[in-house]
Amino acid sequence: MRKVLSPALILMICAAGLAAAPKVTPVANISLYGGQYYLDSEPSAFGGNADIYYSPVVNFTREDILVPVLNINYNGTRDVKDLVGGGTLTRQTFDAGATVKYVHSFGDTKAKTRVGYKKSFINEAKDEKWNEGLFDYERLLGGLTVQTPFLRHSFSLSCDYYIVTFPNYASLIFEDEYESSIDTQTYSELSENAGEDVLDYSNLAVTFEASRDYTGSFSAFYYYQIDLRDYKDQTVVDDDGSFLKEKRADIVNSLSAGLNYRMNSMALRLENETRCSKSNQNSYDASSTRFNKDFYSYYSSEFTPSVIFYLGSARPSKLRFWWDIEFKKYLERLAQDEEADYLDDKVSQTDNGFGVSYQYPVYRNLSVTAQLNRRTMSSNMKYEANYKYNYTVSNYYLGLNWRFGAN
Amino acid sequence: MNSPRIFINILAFFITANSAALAGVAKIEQIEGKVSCAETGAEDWQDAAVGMELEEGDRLKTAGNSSAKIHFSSGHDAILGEKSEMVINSAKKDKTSLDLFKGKLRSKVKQLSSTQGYEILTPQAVCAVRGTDFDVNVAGGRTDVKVYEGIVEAKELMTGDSIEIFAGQSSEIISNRSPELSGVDADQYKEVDAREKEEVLRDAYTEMFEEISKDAVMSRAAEEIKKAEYENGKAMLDVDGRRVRLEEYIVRPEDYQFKYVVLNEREDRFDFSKILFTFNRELPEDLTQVTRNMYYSDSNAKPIWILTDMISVISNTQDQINELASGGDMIKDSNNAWRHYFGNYEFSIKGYGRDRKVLWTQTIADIDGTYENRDIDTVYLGGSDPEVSGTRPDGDDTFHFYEKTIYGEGTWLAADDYLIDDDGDIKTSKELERNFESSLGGASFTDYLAKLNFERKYTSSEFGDRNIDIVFSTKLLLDSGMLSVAYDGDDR
Repeated sequence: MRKVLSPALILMICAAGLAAAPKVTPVANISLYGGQYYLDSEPSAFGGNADIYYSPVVNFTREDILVPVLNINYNGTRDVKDLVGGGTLTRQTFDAGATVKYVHSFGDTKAKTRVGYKKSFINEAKDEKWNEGLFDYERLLGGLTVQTPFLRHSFSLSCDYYIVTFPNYASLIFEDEYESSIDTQTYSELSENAGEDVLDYSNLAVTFEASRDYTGSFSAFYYYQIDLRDYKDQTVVDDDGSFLKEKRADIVNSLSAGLNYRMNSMALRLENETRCSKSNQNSYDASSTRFNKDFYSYYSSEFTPSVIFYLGSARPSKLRFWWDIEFKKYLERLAQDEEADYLDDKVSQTDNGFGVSYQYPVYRNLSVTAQLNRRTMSSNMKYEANYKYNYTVSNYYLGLNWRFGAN
Repeated sequence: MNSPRIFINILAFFITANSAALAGVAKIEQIEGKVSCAETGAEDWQDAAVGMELEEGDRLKTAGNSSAKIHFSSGHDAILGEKSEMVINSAKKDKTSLDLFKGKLRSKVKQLSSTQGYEILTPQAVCAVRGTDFDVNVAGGRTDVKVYEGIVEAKELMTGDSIEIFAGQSSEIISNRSPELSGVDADQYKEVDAREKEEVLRDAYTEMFEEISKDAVMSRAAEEIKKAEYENGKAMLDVDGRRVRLEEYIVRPEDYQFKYVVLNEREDRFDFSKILFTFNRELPEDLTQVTRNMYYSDSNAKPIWILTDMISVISNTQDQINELASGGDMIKDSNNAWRHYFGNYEFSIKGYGRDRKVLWTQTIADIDGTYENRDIDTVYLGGSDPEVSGTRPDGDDTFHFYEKTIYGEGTWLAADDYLIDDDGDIKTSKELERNFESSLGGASFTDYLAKLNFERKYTSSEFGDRNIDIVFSTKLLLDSGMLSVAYDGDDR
C-alpha cells in the first residue's frame, strides 16, 4: 500500500501539472451556523459552527484534473448525531484536513488517486486544551477509484487504506507512575500481553458503487463496502480477564441501496443501509467479574427517506424533511438492568431521528438556512452509569451557506 | 499484505471486462428538450434517453430548443444542436465519421495521433479535424464551420478545394465555390466559455463533495471507537468537569484468588486501587458464581466459596490507605440469610516518606449464635475513641459529605464523598429524594444510585497537601456492601 502514498506518485502528479497549461477553477462551500442543543430538554449554551471546504480544481487537460480539497470545521454546538454519555454539554471540535486527488480519464473511464491527511481536535472536558483531547486523532489516507459506465449504469470501485492514530490515548497500564507505584507482581500480571496504543487502527476499505438513471427524473444507486480493520496494539481479552497475544481485527460489511426521484418542484430520496460488523474482541466487566464474549459484533439496518420541496421558480428556496431510523442489535453483548445485572437478551438499540430545514437564497449563491432536528435513542440496555442508551436530543441551527464558484 | 495485490487483480479484471463487453460506440450523456433516435435501417424514431448507447449507423435528430450531448468511446464529445439531424457513419478507435444532414454539430475532439481521424460530412463539405473544438452548421444550402481550438480542414465537395481553418476563424462553404475564411464573433466564444465553465464547475463540485462524503464515512468509524470507550466506562468526567480515565482489571494470581485493580488518571494525577480477594477453595472460571454470594446469600445452604482474606490498597502513587482482613467466614443472621464477616480487620495509612500508622483494628471476639450477636472489639490509634465530625460543605441540599476523624497522636483522616453523574455534576438531596419518592422506596431507587458514580477524596495529616482522589461506579460499592441504602431501619 505504500506505493499509493509514495513521493513518486506525488512527483508524477506534479510532473503532469508542469507539462500542460493548467486552468484553475476555485470552488468552495462555506457554512456558518449558530444554534443550541438540548438533552432531555436541558439546554446547552448557544454555540457556533463553521464548515469551510475549498478546492482550487486544476484542469491540465480535459483528461487530467487535480482536485486539492482543504477543509476546516469547527463545532461549538453539538449535533443530534453526536455521542451522549460523558462530557455531554462541554464539547468543541476542530478538524483540519487536506486531500489531493488526481483524476485521469480514459475515454468514459475515470481513474482517481487520492492522498489525504486529517487532524481532529476534540475537547470534551474542562481541563482538556486544544491538541490535548483524549480522543484527538490523526488520519493518513491513500486511495484509488475507478469509475466507468457499463450497460447504462455508472460503476465505481474504490480501494482506500487509512491509518488512524489517537496520539493522546494509551492504556493506563503503561503509565510510568503506575509501573513504579503498583507492586511488581500486580504490574506484571496486568501488563502481560496488554497493548499500549489500543485505539490505533488501520483500515482497508473496498467499495463498489453503482447508479443508473432510468429517465431524466428517476435514478437508483447501490453501494457495498467491506472494511478490514486491524488494531495494531489492542490484544484480545481472554475469558479470565487476561490478554491473549492475538490482536483485535474487525470486518465490517455495509450494503446500501436507494432511489432518487426528481419532479419539477420536489425531490425524493429513499435509502437503506444494512451493516454487519464482526470483531474477534471480547470484554471483561471487572466490576461484575463477568466475561463478555464477542462484545463488539453487531448488525444494523438504517432507513433514511428525505424529501425536498423547491418553492418558487427563478431561484427556489428549499424545504427539506428527513427521517432516519436505525435498528442495531449486538450479536452477543448482553443487556443489563438498571443495577447492571446481566439479562438474557442481547443489546438492541433504536435510533429514531427526524428534522426539517429551510434554505432561502438571499443573493446569488448565498443562502440563509434554518434547521430543527430531533433524535430519540432507546434500548433494552438500562444500565447507564457509563453511557446513556435512552434519551432524546434536539437542536436548532440558524446560519448562512455560500457556494463560491457556483453558477 | 495480500490485500492490495488482490485489489489490483480485481481492478484489472474490472477494466478488462468492461473494455471487452462495451456494447455501444457512443452514449447519450445529456439531453435537453426532445431528442429522437433511429437504429440502422429502421424507419421508426423513438425517444432518446440519457445513458442510451448508440451504434454505427444510428441516427439522431433534435426538435426546436433541444440538444443532445454524445460521448464517443474513442473519447470525443459532440453536441447536436436544435433542429438537427445526424448519423454515425463510423466510430472506431482510429476514425470517427459523422454525417450532418442539417442543423448544428459542435465537436470536442480528443488529441489525435497521426493514424487517427475525425470528420464530419455535410451535403456541401467534408470537415477533417486536426484540432479539438469546432462547430459545423448546415442550413440554407451551405455549411458554416467555426473553429474554437485547433485546426479543421474543410473541403468543398464539387470543386475539391480545401481550406485550413484555425482557432478563431470560420468559413462559409457553398456548393461549387472555393471555401474562404472569415472570423468567429465574440458572442460565440462567450457561449462556449460559459458552457465549458459550467461543466468544469459541476465536475469540481462533484469531486469535492465526493471527498466530503468519504470523510464522513471514515469519521463515523472513529466515533464508534470512541463510543465503545464510553460504553465501557473508560472515559468520564469528575466533579470538577475534568477528564477522568478509568481502567478496571481482574487478574488471578492463584487458583483461589482474584485481584481487582482500578486505575484512575486525570491530567495531572494518578490514583489506583487494588483489592486481593482470597477464598477457601479453587475459583471457577465464571467468577460471578463467587461474587454474587460473596457478602450475602439468602439460600439455605452455606455458599461454597468463602472469602477468607482481603488486602486492599488505595493510593495516589505516593500516599496509601491500606486495609488488611483475615479470618473471613459466613454466618446466618436472624432472617436466616448468610452474611459475611472478617475475624480480623486492620485499617492503616501511610504518607509518602513516613511510617505506616494503624488507625484502627477490629476483631470478632465471639460469634456464637447469629450475625447480629457477634461481639466486635475495636482498638483505635492512641487507645481512645476517635473524634468524628461531619459537614455538608456545599449546603444541605448537595450530596457532598465531608467527614473528618481525629485519632490519637494528632493523626487525622478526612474524606470528601460525592455522588456524581456522568458529567461530573454533584447530585442534590432533592434529586435523590425525588427519585426515592417516585420509586416509593422500592428497588428502582437503588437502580437510580447504580447509574451514578461515587467519588472519594482522602486528605490526611500524613499526606501533606496531597490527597487521594478516586472514582468508583456505585454499582461496585453497592454490590460489595461498601455503600448501603437505609429504608426505615432496613439495610439494602
